[in-house]
Amino acid sequence: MEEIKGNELRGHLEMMVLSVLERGEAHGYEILQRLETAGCGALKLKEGTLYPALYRLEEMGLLTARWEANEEPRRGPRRRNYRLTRKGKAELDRRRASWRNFVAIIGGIVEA
Amino acid sequence: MDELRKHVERIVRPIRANVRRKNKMREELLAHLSERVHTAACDGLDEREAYDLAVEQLGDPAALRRELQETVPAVEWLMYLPLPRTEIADHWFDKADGESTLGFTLRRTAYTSLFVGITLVVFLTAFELLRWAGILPEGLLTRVHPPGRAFVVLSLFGIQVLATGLAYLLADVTGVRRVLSRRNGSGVWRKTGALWLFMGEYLFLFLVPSILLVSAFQPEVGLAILRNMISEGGLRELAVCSVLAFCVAFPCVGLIMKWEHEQYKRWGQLEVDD
Repeated sequence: MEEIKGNELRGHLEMMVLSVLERGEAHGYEILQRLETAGCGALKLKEGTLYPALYRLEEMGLLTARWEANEEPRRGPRRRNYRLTRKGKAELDRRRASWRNFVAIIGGIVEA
Repeated sequence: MDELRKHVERIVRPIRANVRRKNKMREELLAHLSERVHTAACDGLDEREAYDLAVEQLGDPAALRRELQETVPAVEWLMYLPLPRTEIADHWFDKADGESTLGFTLRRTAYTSLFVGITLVVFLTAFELLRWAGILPEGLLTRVHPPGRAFVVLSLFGIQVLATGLAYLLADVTGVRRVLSRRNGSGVWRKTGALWLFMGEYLFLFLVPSILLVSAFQPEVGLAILRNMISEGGLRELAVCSVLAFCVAFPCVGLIMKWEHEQYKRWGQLEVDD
């Protein structure tokens, strides 16, 4: 499968993040793993770019976040878990509809 | 782990933002790198290879820093000039993760009351000591007639902190805070308008209760305050008191909050090439 790299992904990263979080809350690294799995390994984005996207979405009220509780036994620094808000779900639905419309129109032109 | 911390610090340290936001970035990036290194080690890479892979996959530090800086609200970006020790005040006066607007308002109101109360006590004590020592001339500030003095006292305590809390609530409810928070996506005129609206909300909430409270006890004083405020003498007196209060209070508050900053001292001690 052909790889999809940074610049092609940039405009869609926020929608993809909202989409994977629909399954349940996750921290940054897990979000990336979900994206890699869903993209069948074809998505090649610089991992750091995820965090500015998460912060933007949080600022817009589409996500909320909380630090994981201390009692969860694990190694290393604590992680911050993100969760979709009701507003985020509505925004995801809106963007999905917009994306389907985009694909339908552009696909119709390109495939013709 | 220190190598990973250094790499994170190279990215985050130059960012202009309050210390709470920067520490959030630090912890998250460090957690991410740690996970990536662990995964690479489980795949059979040695420590050095795992570190190099994790750093390479995180992306160019300068580019990531720019993107992270873009997420910092414009007002905060402007406020955080690279001055030493200004980060100490962040934790007490900034909204915490997951904290509700109401909770933040109440907490900030309580902290600001404490700040203003300490300011008032220290300022008045210092003023009296200086006057007793003959350093300040007799009659200074006593030339401020009663309505002006009442206004000064009220402006330093009580009504001010309540206005601050209520202004934040209003800014949240009206969406003003969200407009001010965005670096991109809002035009400069819209942002300027939002900033004036926020300042107007604050000033209105601050002035009206002040005058109403004084008028409740001394109706003729309320009207006199209004006249005094807009006079040249009234504004000058307020400016002098505000500057003196700030110069006295700032070091005291900085010392009180210093211990909170100590837990992140390890980041500040890392030597990184900026």
